[in-house]
Amino acid sequence: MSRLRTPALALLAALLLSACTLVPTDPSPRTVNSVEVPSGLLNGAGTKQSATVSLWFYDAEHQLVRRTARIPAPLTISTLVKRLALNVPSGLSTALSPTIAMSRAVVRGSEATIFITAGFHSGDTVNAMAAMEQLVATMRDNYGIETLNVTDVANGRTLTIDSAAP
Amino acid sequence: MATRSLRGRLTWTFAVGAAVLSTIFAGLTYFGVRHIIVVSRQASDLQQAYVNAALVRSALSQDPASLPSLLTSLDAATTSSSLVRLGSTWIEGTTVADPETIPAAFRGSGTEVIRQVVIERNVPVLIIAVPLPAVRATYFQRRELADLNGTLNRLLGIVALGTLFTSGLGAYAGRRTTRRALAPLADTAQAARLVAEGDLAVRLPSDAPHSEVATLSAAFNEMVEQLVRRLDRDARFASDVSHELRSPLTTLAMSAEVLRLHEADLHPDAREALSLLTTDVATFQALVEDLLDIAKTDAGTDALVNEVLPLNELVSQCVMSATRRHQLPPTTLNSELPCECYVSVDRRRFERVITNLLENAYRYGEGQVTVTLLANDGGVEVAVDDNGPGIAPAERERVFERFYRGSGASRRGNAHGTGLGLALVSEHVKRFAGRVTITESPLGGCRMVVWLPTVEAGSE
Repeated sequence: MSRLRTPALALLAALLLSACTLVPTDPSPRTVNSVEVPSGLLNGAGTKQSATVSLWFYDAEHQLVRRTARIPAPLTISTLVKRLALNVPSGLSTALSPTIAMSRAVVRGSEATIFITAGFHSGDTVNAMAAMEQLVATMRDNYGIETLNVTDVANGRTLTIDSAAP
Repeated sequence: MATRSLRGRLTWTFAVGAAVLSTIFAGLTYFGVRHIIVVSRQASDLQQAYVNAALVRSALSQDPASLPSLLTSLDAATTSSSLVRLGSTWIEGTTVADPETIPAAFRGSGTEVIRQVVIERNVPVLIIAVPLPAVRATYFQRRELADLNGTLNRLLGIVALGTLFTSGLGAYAGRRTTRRALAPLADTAQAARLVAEGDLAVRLPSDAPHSEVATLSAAFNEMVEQLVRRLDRDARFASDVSHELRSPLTTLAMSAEVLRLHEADLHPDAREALSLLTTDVATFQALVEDLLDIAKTDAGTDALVNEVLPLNELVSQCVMSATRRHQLPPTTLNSELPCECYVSVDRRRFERVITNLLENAYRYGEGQVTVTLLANDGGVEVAVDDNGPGIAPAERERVFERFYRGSGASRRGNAHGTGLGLALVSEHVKRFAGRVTITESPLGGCRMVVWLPTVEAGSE
C-alpha cells in the first residue's frame, strides 16, 4: 500500500501543479455588468434604418448593369442575395433562382464565402457562372470583395470567381 | 523502517515545517498574483473590445464596405482576432479567426456583453462578445492567453524554487540548531558510558546555572556522586568485614590444623567432621582474601607494581606456582608465539589471574586443561581451555560480575567457588590495559582468553 502511496502523491502533485499553471477557465459565459460598459455602446440610439446599396442585373444583351436601391439595415449578404433573386427591376433579369437560400456567409478580408442550401445548381455551369458574376459584382461594390466562393452545401462543391471577371 | 535519531527527527521536523510554511506562503503568493494578473489582463482586453466594437459600429453605420479592412487592421494592431456577425453573415478580420471557434452560447442575440475563458488546443482563449444594437450586429473578440500562461509558468517556477530553497534552508538551520541543542545530551551519554566503564571521576560541566542543561548536568553529577559514595561505603564495608573476619578465621584454621595433627586419635565421625571443617575454613579464607583484594581494588588503595616481563617465562612460573600451591593437576602449556614477547604487569596480580583461571577451569571442567600463548591483534593472548560443558554465549559477559551465578554453574560442576574469582580476573586485566573474553574451546568446553598489549623489552 505504502509502495503505491508515493507515486499517487507525486501524480496528484503533478496534476495540481499543471492545473495551477493554467489561466483559470470559465465553465460558462459570464455577463459583464452593463454599468462597466461605456455608455451608448449597448443602446440602439442612432440606429440606421436603411442603407443604399449597389445591385447588378442582366440587361437584354445579357450584360451586367448596375442599379442602386435602399434596403433595410443591417446590410447583410443574405439580404443582398434575396434582393438580387426576388426584386428584379423591369427590363432586367437575374441569374439567381427565386428559391435560392443560404445558411451563412463569411467575409474574410477581400474574400467572401457563401454557403448556399437551395436554389443554386452548381452542375449547370452556364447559369451558375452567370449567377456568380452577378453576385461578385454586387459584393465588390458593397463589401469590397475581390474573390467570391460559393459552396453548394448539397453536394459540397465550391465555385470561385474573381471580381475582375465581370 | 529504521528509527531515526532524535537529531534526525528534529531536523526532519524543521525541514517539513519550513516546507509547509513556505508552501502555504508560496501558494498564497502565487494565487494572489495570478488573480491580479488575470483580472488586470481581462479588464484590459475588455476595454480594447469596447474600443474595437465602437469602431465597428461606426464602420457599419457609415461605410459597411470598409468593415473587412477595418477588422484586419484591428487584428494587426491588437494581436487579437475580430469577427462581426450580421445575421447569418460573418465578417472576419484575419484568417486566424473562424466563426466555428465561437462557442454556441455566444451565438444567441444577447443584449449584454459576455466573456468566457475557454481552452482551445491546450491554449486558454478569452472570447468577448459585444452586442451592437444600433447596427444589429455583434462584435466578437478572441484573444489567446498563451503569453499569460507563460508568465504564470515562470512565476510558478520561481515560487517553487523559493519553496525548495526555503525547505532546504529550514533543514540546514534545523541541523545546525539541533547539533548545538543536543550537544549536552551527547556529552551526557559519553559521560554515562565512561561511568559504566568504571571511570567514576568523570563529571559534566555546569557553566550555565539557570538552563535546563545545567539542571541535567547537576542531576547527573549528583547521581555519580551518590554512586561513588555508595561504592566507597560498600568497599569500606567489605574491607572492614574481611579484616574483622581474617583474624578469627586464621585462629580457626590453625586450630583445625592442630586437630589434623591428631587426626589418627579421633573417632571416625569426628575425622569426617574435621575434614569438612578444614575444607570450609579454606573456602572461607579464600573468600575473605578475594573480598579484601577486590575491596582494595575498588578503593584504589593497592598500588600496582608493574614490571616488564617475558610472557613465556611468566606464565610458566605462574602455572607451576598455582599447581603447587593449590594442588592442581598438571597443566599442559603451549606457546605459539613467533618470538619472545614482553608484557607490563604486576607479577602478584598476574599470578592471581592465572591461578583463578586455572582453578575455574579445573573446577568446572572435566579434568583436561591447557594454557596456550598466542599473538593476536597487536598483543598476546593467554588462552585457558577446558573440556567442560562451556558457557552459553548470553552469559559470557555476566560471568565476570561479582557473585554472578549463571544457569550453567551447577551444571558445570558440583564444586563451588567464592563467586569473585572471575570478577577479580577482569578487574586485574583491565588494570593491565588488557581485556578478558570467553569463546568456544577446541577441547569442547570454554576458552578464557586474556589479551595483553606487548611492550618493548627493557621499557618502563
